Amino acid sequence: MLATLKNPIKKLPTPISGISAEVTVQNMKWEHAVFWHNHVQPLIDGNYQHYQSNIPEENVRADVGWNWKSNYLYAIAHTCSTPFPGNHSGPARALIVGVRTKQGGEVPLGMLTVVPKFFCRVAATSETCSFAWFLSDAPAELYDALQIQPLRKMAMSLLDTAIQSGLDDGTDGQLLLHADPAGGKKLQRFYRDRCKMIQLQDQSDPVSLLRRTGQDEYFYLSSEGSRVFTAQFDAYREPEG
Amino acid sequence: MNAFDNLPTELIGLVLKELTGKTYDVHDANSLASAKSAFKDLLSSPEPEMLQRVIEAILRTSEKTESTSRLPSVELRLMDGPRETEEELLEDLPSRARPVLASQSRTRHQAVSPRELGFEAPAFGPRQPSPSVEQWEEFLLLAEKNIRTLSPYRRNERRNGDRVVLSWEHIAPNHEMVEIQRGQNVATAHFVFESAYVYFILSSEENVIYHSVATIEEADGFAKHVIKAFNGERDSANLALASIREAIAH
Repeated sequence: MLATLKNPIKKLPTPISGISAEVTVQNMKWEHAVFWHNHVQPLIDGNYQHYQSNIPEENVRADVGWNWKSNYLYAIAHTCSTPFPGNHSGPARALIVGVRTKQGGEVPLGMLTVVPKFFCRVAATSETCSFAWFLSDAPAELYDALQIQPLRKMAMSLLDTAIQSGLDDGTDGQLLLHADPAGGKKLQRFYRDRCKMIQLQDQSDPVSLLRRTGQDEYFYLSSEGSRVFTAQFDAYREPEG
Repeated sequence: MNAFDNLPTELIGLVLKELTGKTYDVHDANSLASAKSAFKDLLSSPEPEMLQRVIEAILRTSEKTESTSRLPSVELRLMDGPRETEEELLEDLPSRARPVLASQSRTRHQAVSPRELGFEAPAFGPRQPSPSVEQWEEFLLLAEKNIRTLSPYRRNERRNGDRVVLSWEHIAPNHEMVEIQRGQNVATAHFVFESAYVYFILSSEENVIYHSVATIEEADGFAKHVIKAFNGERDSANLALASIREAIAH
């Protein structure tokens, strides 16, 4: 059984200053993907759209139409294919950031698949970096349905989780991701301005053997950048205080 | 990722049956091991079409066999966290969950801003002069008028050192929360509306509004009245007001 992260986030802020809520970072189970597919994805698909120039940004989400059961299976398939000759990347992981239910399970509020040791040509100081493959944070409508306060920084906590999974696998914290164009400028601004990631140039070399186009849709965080990024969550890695 | 640890074995068996025609007894250890091996072979096929077939078969089988469960019941476990500025509190919320601050124009529920009514005490910070009965009256009236979407509250209790912290969580979309902190000789309650803070202080200190609170149960009862008042129940609003009047009279 795959271990959970060594240094996960254990709480996230609520909209009330000084008050956080306990969260748990867990390996994704099929039932989490099923939960998302049945309860969360319909809220996303029913309330949001892919980017178009004429719709308000608050209505835009890149993950409209996603199927997290498929995403989960892609992660498994990736892992199954890692022994193939020429595949230098490591196995994938699927993780959730969630909260506990009264029945003792977890409800995912953030979903992530990641390749913690992704063989790429972007990393400055090594051949591998953590590649955040698919990530979704819960929309406001899910918090409404669950009748709980919304948790802040959920999307960023998923990036932190991707970095931590890379660190656990021996990388130096570099992070790469592809910003789905369906998320529009809002998504790019989030990665660039909020997360301080570097947007690759269109003329950059392909990031990997199979990812050869749309280089400017990729965002990268150096080892130093990821240290700064993850440091903002240090206070959230302890359950109390 | 250990590919199959978290996949239901029954699902693996059904998919293999569909794709290979073979039946595996997934409750038998040896048969399950064979099933996993066969399943891995399918998923690691170098042919993208085969991979797609496998994934589609899993999704199809899953849709057929899994029933939609009810939304589980969740209770946030609240705890102390870093303090943040009002500006920071606006950042990194889920889309459309932006709270309405007093300084901003009202949207969504047109909730009354308690600050406009003179409720300015910061949570856990220095005490401010208590609101007057008139202010409470005005507030409850406006609350009654504006906030009708609350669901029943949920009470949480936790210990933080020698303090017992009770919180009454409400309920999106208004994001109200009532919290009472009861320390050695202090009980504090604050209400939060749309992240604009409404406080009433239950305290043994001078600037109290309800100093007769002696037990958690009493605080609980008082909060219940106020919450119901906010939910548009006039009798409860009157009871809450009566409590406030009584407290101030003392």
